[in-house]
Amino acid sequence: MAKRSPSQDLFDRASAADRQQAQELAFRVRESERRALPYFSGGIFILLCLAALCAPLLAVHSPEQFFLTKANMPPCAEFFLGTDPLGRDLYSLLFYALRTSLAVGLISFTVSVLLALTIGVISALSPDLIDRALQRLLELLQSIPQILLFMLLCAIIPSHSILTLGLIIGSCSFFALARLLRSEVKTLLSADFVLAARGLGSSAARIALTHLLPQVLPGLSFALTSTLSSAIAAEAVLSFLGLGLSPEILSLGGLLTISERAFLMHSWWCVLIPGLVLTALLGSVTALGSYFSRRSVRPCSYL
Amino acid sequence: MSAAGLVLSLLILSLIIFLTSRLLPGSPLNALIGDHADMLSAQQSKEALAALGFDRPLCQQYFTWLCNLLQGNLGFSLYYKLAISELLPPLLVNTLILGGLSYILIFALALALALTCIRFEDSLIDRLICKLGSLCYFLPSFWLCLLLILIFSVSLQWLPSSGAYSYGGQQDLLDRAEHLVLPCCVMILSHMWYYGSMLRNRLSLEVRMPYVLTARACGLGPWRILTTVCLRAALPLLINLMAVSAAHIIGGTYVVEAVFNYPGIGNAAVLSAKNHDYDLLLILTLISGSFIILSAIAARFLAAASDPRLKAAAGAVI
Repeated sequence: MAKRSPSQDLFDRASAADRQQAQELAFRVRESERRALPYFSGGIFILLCLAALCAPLLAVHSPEQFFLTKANMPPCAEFFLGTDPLGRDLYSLLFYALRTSLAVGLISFTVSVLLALTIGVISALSPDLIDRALQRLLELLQSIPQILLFMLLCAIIPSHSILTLGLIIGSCSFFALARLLRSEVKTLLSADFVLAARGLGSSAARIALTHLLPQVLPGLSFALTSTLSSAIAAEAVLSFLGLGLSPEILSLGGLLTISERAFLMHSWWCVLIPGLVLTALLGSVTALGSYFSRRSVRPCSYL
Repeated sequence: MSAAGLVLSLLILSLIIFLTSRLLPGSPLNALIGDHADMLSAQQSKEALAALGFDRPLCQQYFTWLCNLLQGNLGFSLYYKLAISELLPPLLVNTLILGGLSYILIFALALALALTCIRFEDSLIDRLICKLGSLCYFLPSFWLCLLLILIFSVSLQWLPSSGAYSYGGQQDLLDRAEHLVLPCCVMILSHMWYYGSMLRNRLSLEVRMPYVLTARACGLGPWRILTTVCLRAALPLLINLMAVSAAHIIGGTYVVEAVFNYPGIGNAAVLSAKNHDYDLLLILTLISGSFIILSAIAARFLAAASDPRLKAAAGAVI
């Protein structure tokens, strides 16, 4: 007979009733996991990304065209979602605004992740004194309300393009991620495989890249998606307050800055619709994040 | 963090902000005289900056500022054209009223909703509250403000849409309360379920303990058990949350105050950031930062006091 692994041995020795119960449980776990796939939120997110990518194809009117004689019109056949107080077609504006918002969100997400990886791994691998100093510094920076940090940097840097705003938001949102990464890597450092790799002659950089990162990233997937959603939200708030992108570069927050005029003109569609799109974007990213967090703590397979 | 650590943290914070705020020497003139600053010749700008004290070396400026601060002179706001120590007290009072009221209401409602969810666990009410709570949590708060203004101020005209009090109504409590309703609603809706869900998870673990079964067997009703015994077990979490949430809630007031034009610290910070008034921004950041650090220290004390198991582990805090 072929040598059975310990778990298979146990399985044989368990009684028939126990075996049946284990199989049923495994079946139910697999079914519930399959049902738990985020079809709805994943679908909405993919739809929004596609809409942002195909903006020139989907927009009916040019976003820079001001129909001053037809400003403040409610949704009708010519302008699907109405016009804003400046006379721009809201439907076409939405696609370009979505594109900008997603671009800024993705840039700040990339910057955050890179900064968190660098500083987190350096902090975990460095001697105790530097590690504690870095942690204190991160704690200190985390104690300032994030929006205040954004406002400080936005006030100092004169002009804002998509790239600079992405850099600003990214460099202020990495603190929590860096601390999480540092604690995860620190717990992994005492594992046996790191000792074995060191013994075989790997350098510290190689161990960090090929062994530590793949172990650490799945557990962090929830933190990563929440970084993305908070980056998109931060960009919207900053553009709304006038501190973010300049008004010529449309973004979802920027569309809401003319809400004061919209209130005077009772054009509720200018306030409601960009906000709904922003909410859908943020909600889908958050739901994807909670799916990843559920996935990473699932019980191990019974195979 | 010890007291020395607190002072050191604040000093480093002030240094970082001071250095970043002095990177653009031309902007103080923009704050003082607005667009006219662009019309000044180079010679005039230099003279104006020298008169304001911005041309000295950075170290000297920082030490002057620090000495002034320790003597109680908080500086001069170039945008509001007032001494900061005159400007701050009414702003602080307004923000404390809004922030304090919403802080208390957020946690009271979070606790009440968590208890209701656990009492009727997995029923329609529970699922409804969870879904609505998470929905309100990821609605952008500034959009929620705009929506509420649209519904209650513009369409229905029930509540005022901006400010903390009507003209001349500064001491009128009813008037202030009317202006507080919408900002507090937004603050509560956007923050409540974040803490409510954590409390609900903790309580759901708690009601599965054997002592709850014993209490039920002894004849205690479910509400009695929840409010006397399970609540005490969830208290450390509540206190921890209340202390840790200071940063989150202060950040929330900034946006709400800016949208409602509520004359508080947050609105002043947004305006000073937009108009390059760095002295005011520096003081406001120090106030917020020190408040958050102090609440973290208070959290450590209170957690140790409420949970005897932590007392041994806490050791000497200061």
